[in-house]
Amino acid sequence: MADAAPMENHHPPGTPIVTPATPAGPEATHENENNNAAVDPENEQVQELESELSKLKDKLQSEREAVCDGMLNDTATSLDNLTRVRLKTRRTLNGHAAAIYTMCWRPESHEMVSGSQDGKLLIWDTHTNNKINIITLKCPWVMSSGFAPSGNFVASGGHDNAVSIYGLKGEMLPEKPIAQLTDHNGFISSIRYIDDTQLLCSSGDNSSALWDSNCGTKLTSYEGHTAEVMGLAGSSDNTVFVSGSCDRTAKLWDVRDKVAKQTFTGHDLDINSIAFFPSDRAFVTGSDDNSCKLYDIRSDQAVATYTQLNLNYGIGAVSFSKSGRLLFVACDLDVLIWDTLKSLKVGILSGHEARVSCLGVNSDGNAVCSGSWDAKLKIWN
Amino acid sequence: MPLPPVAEINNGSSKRISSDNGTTPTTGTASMLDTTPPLQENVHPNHALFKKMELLVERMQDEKEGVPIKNAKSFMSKVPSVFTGADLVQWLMKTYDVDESEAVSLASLTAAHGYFFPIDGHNLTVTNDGTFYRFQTPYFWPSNCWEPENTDYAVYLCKRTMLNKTRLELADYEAESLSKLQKMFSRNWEFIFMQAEAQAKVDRKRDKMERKILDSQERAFWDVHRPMPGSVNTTEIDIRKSCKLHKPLKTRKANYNVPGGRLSPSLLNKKNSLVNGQASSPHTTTTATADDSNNNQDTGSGGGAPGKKTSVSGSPPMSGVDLAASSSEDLHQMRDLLKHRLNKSHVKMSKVADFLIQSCEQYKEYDPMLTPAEPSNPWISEETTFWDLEKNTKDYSTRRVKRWAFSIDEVLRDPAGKEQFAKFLAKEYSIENLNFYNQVHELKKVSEKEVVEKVKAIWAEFLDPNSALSPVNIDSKCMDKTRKETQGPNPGRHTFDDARDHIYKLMRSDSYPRFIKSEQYRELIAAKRKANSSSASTSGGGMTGNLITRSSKWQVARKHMEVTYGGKRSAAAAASDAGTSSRPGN
Repeated sequence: MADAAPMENHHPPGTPIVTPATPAGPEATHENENNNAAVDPENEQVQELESELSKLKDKLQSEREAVCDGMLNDTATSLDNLTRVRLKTRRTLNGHAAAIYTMCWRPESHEMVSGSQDGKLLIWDTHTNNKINIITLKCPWVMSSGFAPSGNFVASGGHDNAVSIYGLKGEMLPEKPIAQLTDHNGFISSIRYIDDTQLLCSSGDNSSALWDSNCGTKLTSYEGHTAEVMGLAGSSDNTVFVSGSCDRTAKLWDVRDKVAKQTFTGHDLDINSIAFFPSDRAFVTGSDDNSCKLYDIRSDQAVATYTQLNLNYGIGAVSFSKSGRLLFVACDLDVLIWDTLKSLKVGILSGHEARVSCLGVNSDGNAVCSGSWDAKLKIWN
Repeated sequence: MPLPPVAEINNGSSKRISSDNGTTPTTGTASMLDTTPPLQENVHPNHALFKKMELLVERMQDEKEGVPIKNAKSFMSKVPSVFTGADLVQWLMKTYDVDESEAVSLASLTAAHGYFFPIDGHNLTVTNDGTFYRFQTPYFWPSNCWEPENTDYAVYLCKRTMLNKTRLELADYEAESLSKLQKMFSRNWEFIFMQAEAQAKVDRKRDKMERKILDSQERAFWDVHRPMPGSVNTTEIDIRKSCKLHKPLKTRKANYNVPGGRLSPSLLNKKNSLVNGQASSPHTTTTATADDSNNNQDTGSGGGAPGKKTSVSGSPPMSGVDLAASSSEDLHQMRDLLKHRLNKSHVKMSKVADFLIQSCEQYKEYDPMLTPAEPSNPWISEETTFWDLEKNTKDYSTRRVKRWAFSIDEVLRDPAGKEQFAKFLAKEYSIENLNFYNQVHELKKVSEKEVVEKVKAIWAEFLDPNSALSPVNIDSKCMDKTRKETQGPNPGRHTFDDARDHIYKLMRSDSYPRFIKSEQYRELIAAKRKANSSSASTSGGGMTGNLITRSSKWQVARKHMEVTYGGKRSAAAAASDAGTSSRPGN
């Protein structure tokens, strides 16, 4: 082709322009630096441990394979197929002026908070379409939001690396945050209230944390992921939670321990979103590799995969219906509905004019809400 | 944290390429184990998409099988190296077996990202006619993680004004941008001017045809990164992934026709604060503000430095576990974890499947997406009766009562259920268990300051062996542990967790089953059934066969159902398309 020849002076994509000073990395040699005499036994020990580790991993892997006697949809073949699920838009919530990035239902209610790039958090009564509150954020790069069960507080977080808590009732006017939880080194990707005073959040600094929002103290920090944590989901009794990360793994944590209990692999690209199955023994992850996987906690692996090819944006959000039989997945400009058990598509919600960035089914399962970069939220059922 | 050595990155990248053919690859060996393959840095968040498009474009450019490219003749001049929109669309239709509209849309999407462009105009779309298009040079492909700065754009626009060709005149929006940039860089304008002059000089010396091509390619590049108002900005990045772009380092600097390459070092080093960007159109503002957040390190205005500083310090990902860098401590911990997991048994997937199926079936009735909500879905019927009834602890439906039989959690979750359960326990003189459970629950909710007080209160009421008012029964080991914690220095929210678990299990295995079998519960179910009028109608189709029960008490509810089912169909009951669902009897 008659493409210009002179423009050859570029680096091939993928190689860093600035190479690290010492390829082996300062830390690897750190232990060896100090005392040469101590090097050998230490190194040996490390090597021994590593070989033991890989043996253990192999063993774990073979155990997993041993219980893998068929995927979920194999067992579910005897079930009747669901008829096509047709949901209509019942409400379109207009009010934001820019792309919506996050929404969160208040537990046991039809109130909802949504956050967008215009720097506002809007609190909606979704039934009457009224805006209950408008909160202007200091930092418009909001990525996540949470709603306390009592309805007294909302939280938001984003590229300012802090969780800001706003009071909604009584003397607390939502003009200034009543608290800011600022101990993170990366963006806040996801927030979930456990109850009025405690919340979990996940961050781009590879960790998640449990905060006491009243005192503004971090109660526990959950480390273990090797890349940004993009989403978290808590079980219904709030004793455990799962987190999904750009390191392509999901981890299960007991709220009381800072070390992960289980790690689930299988995705090839970033995990963007994660949701618990209603009866808590399983959870689903949505990833940039255009697939969602249903992982079971007790068998420690994926029991079903839901793939939608040819997506431009990967999968940004996932949410279960009340029984868990239906899985709502945000795919580009639509929301797809999957039959969880049979791994079949049973519906599609179209109507947004730009990418759907967030999804949520409310507590009683009556409605699913989708928020999009077209600045609108839609309620469907 | 050290960056992984270059070799690893290349491995990562080749893995990526092989797996991005639009199909979900079977899990590679690495992903089956706990180690995840090394993560690639300096990768555009859309790189998977770009790889796909580039494959497509490479096929298009294939000499034998691709789109026919020619040097067209028009009026007095030759138009080098172009293809027509019609040819492109036809080729797509033939090669991928798609219809015309899909081919046009696919072509337009690929053009919007800048892989080819119309030789005239700034609108990156494709039409199925004789309009000429040209391919973009791979140097300018978006996968090279371009982030051209406003200084580069200024140099480009300035250069354009120096070339005396009518067809290279600036469009209105470009002229506007140029004047804004002049204001923005008024102090450094000489540098920009110098660069533009140098580039223009080189330009004039070029061969005419070559220049045409280069000019058009450069223009197309800027059409992507500084789009014309009203067109889609494909460089809009999901902010959740935007920090990846900046993780390692510098953005790429263009090597525009200037020999020796780069823009002057002084411009390079200056990360100009790009507050307020340029044109007012929403599209360009997003790019500008994205730049803003990324470049706005030192100005520190607004909510503190967003992202950029911290994303670099937010450690580059390390590959899985096998790191020479991890200390032996970490390895010990890892080993213990793995051993612990191996000790836990794995449940067979078929069993898991059974459990999931059973769970779905059990709750099907309660899933408003599958079974119409009772009495009506508030968004469909516009009545809030559903929510009012939920709150009601006096009057409730069979459905609700039935649910309590699923598990103790359902009882505890429903305030009405809890009430009934409490009544039952009171009769059995074991209500202190439920009270204890509730109190421990409350303990989790109180603020940090009140925790100690609450712990002591709970201890005093339920557990103190000497003076508890309503003692609960826990085993001695648990009692000792709890006592130690309560009387220790730091009684916290989790002090009673073990005791609560014990009591919970007790209730679940003992009191709860008896509750479900009890007269009281059976009466509740029977009472509701009797109160319902007899004719139950089945909803049509193969959906659920669920009983829509109506109660003569619920005149209100019945009316709503008539509105719902008589008038509009509940969207969830899609199966009744055939119109077989019987109307609620009058």
